[in-house]
Amino acid sequence: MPLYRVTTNPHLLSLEERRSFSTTVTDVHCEVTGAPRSFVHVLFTEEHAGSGGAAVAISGTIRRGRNEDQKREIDQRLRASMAQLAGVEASDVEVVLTDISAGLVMEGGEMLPEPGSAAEAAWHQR
Amino acid sequence: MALFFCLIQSDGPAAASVESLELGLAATHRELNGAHAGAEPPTVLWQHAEPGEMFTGGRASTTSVIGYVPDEAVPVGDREPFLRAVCELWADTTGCSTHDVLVAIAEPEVAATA
Repeated sequence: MPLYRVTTNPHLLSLEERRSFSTTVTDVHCEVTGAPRSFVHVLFTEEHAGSGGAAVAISGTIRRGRNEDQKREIDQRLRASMAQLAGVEASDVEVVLTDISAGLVMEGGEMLPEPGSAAEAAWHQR
Repeated sequence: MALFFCLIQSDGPAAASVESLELGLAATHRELNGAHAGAEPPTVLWQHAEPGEMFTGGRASTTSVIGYVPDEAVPVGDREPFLRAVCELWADTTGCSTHDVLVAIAEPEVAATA
């Protein structure tokens, strides 16, 4: 965790562009939250958006405990980066962040640490 | 009806073990819910990520992601044992490291319910 799903119109991004954006997502998320890079997952899927749909939809499931400023920064940076990469307007990029409680997730054989806990400091060092 | 949603790598070890993993997930679900062997098994959905579709830490991913949607809220005390059982099922069946397994329970947060 986190898991970011990036849904685009078909053939919008090349393999290299997907790889580049996955690095951007990882950089942004880790810079904003301090989370370890090895826990950031990015999945790309392609769908026809249909009339009126956004060209790119980014859905992030993130650990509950991030404040609104952090979420806003993630939203703005991912939106701007994708708009530049894909050659679309920022308004054509939709970003939705959904919280999940640490107590509902296990990764790497361990429960995710609760925000502000002693375990979180150690987790950030991984 | 309970549901497992499994996102796996098409070129990874889980893709060759789908049947065994489904049986193991059904058993884990029964153990969590105290259901008898003849009870309705959970639905298991699979999504295969092709090479170039999923990245972890900015690199090609080797992670399996398993989401569980239960019929009823999972009691707090049962969550970690259940999640660990799924992780160990995955590692034992596929030979992967538990570092390559992400398991989550998808349900509304409940407050210390029995």
